[in-house]
Amino acid sequence: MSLWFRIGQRQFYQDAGAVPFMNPKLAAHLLLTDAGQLKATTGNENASMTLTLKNANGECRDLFAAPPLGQLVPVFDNATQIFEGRLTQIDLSTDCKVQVQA
Amino acid sequence: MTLLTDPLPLRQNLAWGTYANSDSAVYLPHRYGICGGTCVQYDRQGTQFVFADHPVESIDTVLVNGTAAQGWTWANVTDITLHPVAMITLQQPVDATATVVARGKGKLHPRTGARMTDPAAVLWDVMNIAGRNVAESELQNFSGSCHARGLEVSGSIESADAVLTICNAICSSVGAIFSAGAPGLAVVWPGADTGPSLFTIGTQPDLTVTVGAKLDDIYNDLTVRYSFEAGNPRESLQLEAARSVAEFGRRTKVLDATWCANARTAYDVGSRLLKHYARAQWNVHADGLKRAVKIGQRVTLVSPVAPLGGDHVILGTEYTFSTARTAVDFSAPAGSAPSVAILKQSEAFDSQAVTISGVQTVGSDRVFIITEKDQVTPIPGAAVTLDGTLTRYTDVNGRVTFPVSAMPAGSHALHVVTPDGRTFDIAAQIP
Repeated sequence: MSLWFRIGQRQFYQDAGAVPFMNPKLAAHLLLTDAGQLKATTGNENASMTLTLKNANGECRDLFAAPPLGQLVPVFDNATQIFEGRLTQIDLSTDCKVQVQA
Repeated sequence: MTLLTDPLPLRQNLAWGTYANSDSAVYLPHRYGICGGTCVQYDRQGTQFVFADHPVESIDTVLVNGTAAQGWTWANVTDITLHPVAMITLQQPVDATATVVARGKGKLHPRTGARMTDPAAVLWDVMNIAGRNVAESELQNFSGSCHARGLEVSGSIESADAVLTICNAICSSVGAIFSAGAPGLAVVWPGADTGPSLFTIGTQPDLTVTVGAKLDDIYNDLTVRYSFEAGNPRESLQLEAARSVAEFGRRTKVLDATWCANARTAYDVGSRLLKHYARAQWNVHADGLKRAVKIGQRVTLVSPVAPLGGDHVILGTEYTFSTARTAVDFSAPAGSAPSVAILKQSEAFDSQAVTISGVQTVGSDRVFIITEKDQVTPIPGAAVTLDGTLTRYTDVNGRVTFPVSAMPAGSHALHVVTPDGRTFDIAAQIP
C-alpha cells in the first residue's frame, strides 16, 4: 500500500512505491507521513480525512504560501483513487495537516 | 463599577415613583446620532413621554400608534428627580395602550456640545454610564482612526444589555475590535494602520508557532445591513470581491451593523472586511513569549514553519502566571488584497418602505399620496423628486402634485426624503 495525493500541480507521497503511479510531469514531494482515518457515515457528518506532511524544517512553508483552500484533492493507493474532496483546512507547525472533505 | 459582562445600569421609569405612569418597569433609553424608538410615558395623563434619558439635539417626528402626531412639542427638561431628559408633550392625551414613537438627533457631547456620532465618544459615554471612569483621552487614537475614515455611529440603547455586548456591537458596526485589554479599548481592524510593530515574533527560543487556514473563514460576498431602528435594518449594501468569487466560488455573509450610521461607514467597513476575508488567511497562535503584549498592538512574525511575514495586529492574548509566558493570536491574510466593488445598494427594505397610492390625473396634474408602509398613514412634508429632476413636497395629507408634462404615461422613479431623514427610491407606473 503506497498512499499519495495531488493538490493542483503538486503530488505528495509516502514512499517510493507510489512513484510509478504518479504523473511524472508534475512535481512530487516525499513529505507524506500519515493519513488519518477515512470516515464516512450516513448522518450529517461529511466524509473527510486528514493528511499529514513533514514540516519540521519548513518543507511546506513555501509550498503553501498561498494556501490552496478549496482545491480538489484526489487521494490514491497506488493506482486506485480511494477518496476525493476539497481542501478545507491547512494547519502548519512542526508538521503540516491537510484536511480534505468530500 | 459595572463589570463588562454585567447589564448596563440604565435608569428605569420606576425612578419617577408614583408621580408618573410607572406601573411596569421600563428602561429609559440613551440615543446617539440620528435615531428613533419608542418613548416612555411620563405622566399619568398620557401627554408627556420621555424620548431619551438625557438632553438631545432635536426631536423631529412623533408618531402615535403609527400616525404622525400633530401639535406636539419637545424640550430638554429635568424630571421629578431633577435628572435631565428629552421630553415630548402631546397636544391631546393618549390612552395607556398607545405606542409613541419618535425620531430625532440624540445625545450631545458634554464638553463640545456636538452630536455624539464618533464611535469613540459613544464608547466613552457607555463606559461612563457603566461607572467605569474611563478618560476620553484614552480613546484618542481610536477616535482619530474613526475620524480619518469618516466612521460614524447612530443608535439607541433601550434595554440593559451587557456592557460588553453593547461595546462589541458598536465596534463591529464600524469594523473595529473592542477589548478591555486593548490600549485605548478599541482599534479599527482590519485594514487600518495601528502604528509600528513593537517586536518580532518567531526568533525567540521555546516559542511554538502554529498556523492554520480554513476554507470556511473565507467570504467574498458581503451584505452590510445598517441604519437599524427598532431592531430592523432600513438600508443595506452588498459588496463583492470578484477575483475571490472566481477562485473560491461565491461565499456569502451578512453583517448586521446595528450601530452603523450611514452608507459611507457601511462601505468602509464592508470593503475592509472583504479585503481581509475574501482571501485565505492564516490564523496564527504563537505560545511562549516572555513579555506582555496587548490586543491591538502590532507585531512582526518570522517563522521557519509558516509562510508568513509582515506586521499583524494581535487579536487575542493569554498570559500564564505559572510559566510567565504569553500566547498570542492573530490573523494574517495570504496574498494581495482583492479589489472590492458594490453589487447592490438598497435604501430601504420592503418592511420599511413608503408607498404611493391614489394616483390620479386632475386637469394638467398627476396627484398621488405618499404613505407609510401601512398604505394608510400619510407622510406630510416629504421631498419627492421625480426622475431626478423635479422636486415637490407633500402637503399635510401626504399629497404631492407633478405636471402631466413632467410625468407622462410610463415608468417613473421617485426619490422620497421624509422629514425625519429617511430616504426611499420607489417606482411609479402611470397608465
